[in-house]
Amino acid sequence: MTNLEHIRTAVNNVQFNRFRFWLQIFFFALLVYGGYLGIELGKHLPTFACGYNKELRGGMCFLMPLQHWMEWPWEKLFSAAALTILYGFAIFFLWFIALNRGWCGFACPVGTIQDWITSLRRWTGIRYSRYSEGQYKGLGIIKWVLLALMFLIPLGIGGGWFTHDLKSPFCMICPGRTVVPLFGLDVSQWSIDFSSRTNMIMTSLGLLVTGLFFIGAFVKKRFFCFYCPMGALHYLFSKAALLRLNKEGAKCTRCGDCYRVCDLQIKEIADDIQNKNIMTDDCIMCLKCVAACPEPGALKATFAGIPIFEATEAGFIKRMNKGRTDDK
Amino acid sequence: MTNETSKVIPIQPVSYSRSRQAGESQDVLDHIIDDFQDNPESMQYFYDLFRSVYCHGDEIKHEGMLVGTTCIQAPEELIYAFGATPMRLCNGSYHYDQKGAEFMPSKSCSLVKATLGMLNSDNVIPKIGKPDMIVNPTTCDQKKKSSSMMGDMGYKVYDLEFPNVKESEASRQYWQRSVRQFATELRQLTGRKLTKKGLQAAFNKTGRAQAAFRKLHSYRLLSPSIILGKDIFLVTNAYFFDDITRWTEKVEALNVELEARKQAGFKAVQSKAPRVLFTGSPPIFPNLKLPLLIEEAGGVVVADESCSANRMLYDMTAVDEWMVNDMVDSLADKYLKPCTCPIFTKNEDRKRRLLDLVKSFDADGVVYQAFSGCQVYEMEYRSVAEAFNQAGIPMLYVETDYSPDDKGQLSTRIEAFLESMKNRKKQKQRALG
Amino acid sequence: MNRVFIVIAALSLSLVTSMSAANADVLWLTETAPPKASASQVADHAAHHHAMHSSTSAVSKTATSDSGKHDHTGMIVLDETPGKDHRPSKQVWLRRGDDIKKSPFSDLDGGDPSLTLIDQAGKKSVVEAGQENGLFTLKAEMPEVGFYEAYLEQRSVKEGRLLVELPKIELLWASCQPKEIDEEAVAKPIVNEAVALELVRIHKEDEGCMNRIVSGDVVNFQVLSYGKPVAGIPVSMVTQEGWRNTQTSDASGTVAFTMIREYFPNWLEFKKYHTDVFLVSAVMEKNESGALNGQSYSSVRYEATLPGKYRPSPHDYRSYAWGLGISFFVIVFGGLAVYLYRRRRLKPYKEVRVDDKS
Repeated sequence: MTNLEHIRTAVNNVQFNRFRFWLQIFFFALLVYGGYLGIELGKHLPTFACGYNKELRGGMCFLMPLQHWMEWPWEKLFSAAALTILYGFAIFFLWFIALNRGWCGFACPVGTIQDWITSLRRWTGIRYSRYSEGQYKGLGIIKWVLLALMFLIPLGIGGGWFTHDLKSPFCMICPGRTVVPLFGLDVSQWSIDFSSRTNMIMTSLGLLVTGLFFIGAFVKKRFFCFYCPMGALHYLFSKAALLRLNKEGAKCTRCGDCYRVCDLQIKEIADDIQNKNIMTDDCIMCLKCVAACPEPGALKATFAGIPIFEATEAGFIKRMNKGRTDDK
Repeated sequence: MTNETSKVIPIQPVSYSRSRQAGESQDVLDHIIDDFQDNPESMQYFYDLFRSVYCHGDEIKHEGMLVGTTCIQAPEELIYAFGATPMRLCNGSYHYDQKGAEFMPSKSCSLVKATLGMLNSDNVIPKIGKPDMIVNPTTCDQKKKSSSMMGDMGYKVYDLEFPNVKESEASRQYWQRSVRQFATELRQLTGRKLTKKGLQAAFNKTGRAQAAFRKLHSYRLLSPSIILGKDIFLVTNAYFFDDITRWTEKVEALNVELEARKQAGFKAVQSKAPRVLFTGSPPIFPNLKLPLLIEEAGGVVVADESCSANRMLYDMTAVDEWMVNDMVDSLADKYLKPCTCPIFTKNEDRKRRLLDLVKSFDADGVVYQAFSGCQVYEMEYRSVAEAFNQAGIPMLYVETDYSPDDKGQLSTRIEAFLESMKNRKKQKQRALG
Repeated sequence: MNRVFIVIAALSLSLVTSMSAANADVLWLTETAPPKASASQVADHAAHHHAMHSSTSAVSKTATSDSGKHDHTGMIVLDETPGKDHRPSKQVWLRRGDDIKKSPFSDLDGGDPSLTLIDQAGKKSVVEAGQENGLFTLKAEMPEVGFYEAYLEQRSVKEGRLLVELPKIELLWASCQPKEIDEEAVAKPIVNEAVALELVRIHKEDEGCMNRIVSGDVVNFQVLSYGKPVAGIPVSMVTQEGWRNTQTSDASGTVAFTMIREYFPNWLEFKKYHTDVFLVSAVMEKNESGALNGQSYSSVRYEATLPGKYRPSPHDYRSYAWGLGISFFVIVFGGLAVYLYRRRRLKPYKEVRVDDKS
């Protein structure tokens, strides 16, 4: 075996969940506490590095500037100033294509927090919930609606139809705003702003969603990701991304192991044997499916066409054996 | 008159080992062992095991309660988790096939008839003792209908409800409920609780066994083969009744030997031996008629798609949360989703699996066994044949049963089939070279 | 520095004659534009505001954090509202009189005016005053994010007394990009060691650029003379609504005022960015004699002023109790709903009914 093959085998045999846990911690520290170390990745990050987490954050979620731009008065929005927006989109796109929705599965602080809540539930021994097929189809639309509103409401502000208190409408209902700053001991987002009716409604909605977030994430794995408009925005660009989730239909036995472990309960991952690019709009690219696939090469993550993590029999056996012998 | 004779010549109780039934097994076993050269040394355990169980009628010991299963869809991890031992009842004996004929119409599946015949006989071989419960997954019609017959024989039968469609989410959930219900049933039967620890230990047992099987399976990828298909069938047949831990250890020992063979560049067959993929009705000892005929004629069974070997042990369970609820549901998924049994409405997965096996095991052709009366396999023949035809892979369809009568005729057909494969191979090589 | 220095001819031993700080005629600088600003001026102002947004070369302060403290609403700036802090230049006017609502805008009327601008780093620059509609105005350019202090000094002799008016204003170019801010520099007060009397607002240690004074805050001021603290100086505060308080500086020259709440609108008219102005002034009298432009005097009166801005306290409109209450309510009832739903699922399956209507 060559060195490269050695590395490949080592990677494919990795205890994936543990690896992912630490990688998530790394990204969490980077994005939530990076400011301490003077890290500034800019304000075009395709993940919930919440801007409300003031000086601690190591970068900023793109949705914040995006909504802000959309609030520009129209004459400005449709002027040369819009180049700022295009430039912003370009930076966002460059960040995005590097990891595709791996941003969600590995980097997103809100996703990581949800995984921690899931661990907490697991520790208590409470079972998780799943949506029924009908619920899954119905609720899956919400993220697209949120994405549309995230553009339309700010445009309405710029056009003078809505009050400025409605600014950053998605931020106001995003659980990231309330939850992420908590990690910097900042509870300032946990109040209701009674200064106007709009503020009151938006801050109330925000905390309502926060409450739902905690309940939801406790009983449903990656609860919020299913509704996340950032995820929907990602999906629009995902075809251009470098990191990909590929499936070789011929090698798939449709055993459903991948579907079994999928936090977003994506059935296509198991059943679709036609499409090579298997990523759906709900996929968070956590790659748990690759780790749980026993068929060599049936599922793989590729970067710019080069396989970086591939399903193997030996890897599967090693990982599942670990689970079986884990007493906790 | 008959009464008279019986009075004159009282029937002597014949020891089992001298019975016709033992003779049937003896013949096949001797054939497996003696008519082939270079049997792996580690196979000796399995030869001895079959000789003891089938030829001598020795008793098979088990721990806890005994739960008989009539199909691979009965989740054996659950049975182990309750401290009971699963035992696959599917039988391959011609003797029992004949005995069981009274339960079923004349043209029905030998396997089902043999199983019924076995359960109805006084001296059950393999000698497992009376099962505390028989789990009968509602798969094909013949198995479904044998449920009440087994009940009439005095067995406690549990019908494990199995869906006919596997693609839909509804049937998946239906099956998950079925499996959970089965767990409740087992709790009542054994009076024990289903614990995380117990289930994890059970997963460990089958997981290790499956890993060993997969390893064994991977040695069959080598060309020329280093182990023959008849031995593999014997090994997987032993899984039906052998102690799972011991079985696993012996397979692991076999794997070690095969690794050594691989390193040494050992050839169990000639390089030009046609490589055959076996599919269809399951060969179960002593009915290894067809695989033996193939390998006697100079072919080698390199892979199979049957519920007495590959389909039984290949697919592994993935669990996300190692808690009882998720483990049980994962089990359910594992026993339904990858299953390529022909009882389902669609057989796309079976076709894809077969094509993939041909490709990855570099098979030259396929032998499709259908037990006469096994309607589902007979019905699927057409679509499978079409798929192979399109892929340019030769297939031999064999309709047979447990009777040895058609051996001669089959032998001719198989020889001709293998010969044609050899020719194809030669032509291919010539075209390439 | 073409400033004429006054040579103090003689020092008198006589005591400071008056302790009264209240002076209805104080001169002070303000960011509030004169009320008669024409419509075109207002429009210019708004356009300017937006132009600042688009200038990407300037440190980008487009879309950033904190709705609570973030203020560029893009609406037209109204009269009587102090200038906003999100821009790198400010215009300052001069007013006379301590009635913040009514006191008139004024032009320079004394002799020897001098204008100094000091930035965070302590760099001094002399700036020229301008005139707009016959009124004094100063356009201060602030090249970097942070605080700037503008000092005006104006001297006049009346009835044998030299009046030194020292209005000062603290200007801020704020940014919500915390990383653009030098926190230490922001926390450190800017002091002009060349002035005889100066009021300095003591910044909080963690003040940063986005901090705003709100009702209920305790604001500390220090009275300095040539950079040294002076005790016993009366310091007065007047708020927009006319509330007054006078305190005397202690040994370290410090006085502390608690900002009162003066904003009581109806709930629906409540604006959390409503900004009021307060004015702090200090008076120091000394028996010094000398002459200014040929006029001799025997005593000197120093009048230092410093305006400030404050907003309603978040306590007036933000409620943590409600916030926590809502999320707690959702968590409890949501959790209960999930629990009950799961319990219900354990009950036997309910039959589907088909009747004539269906």
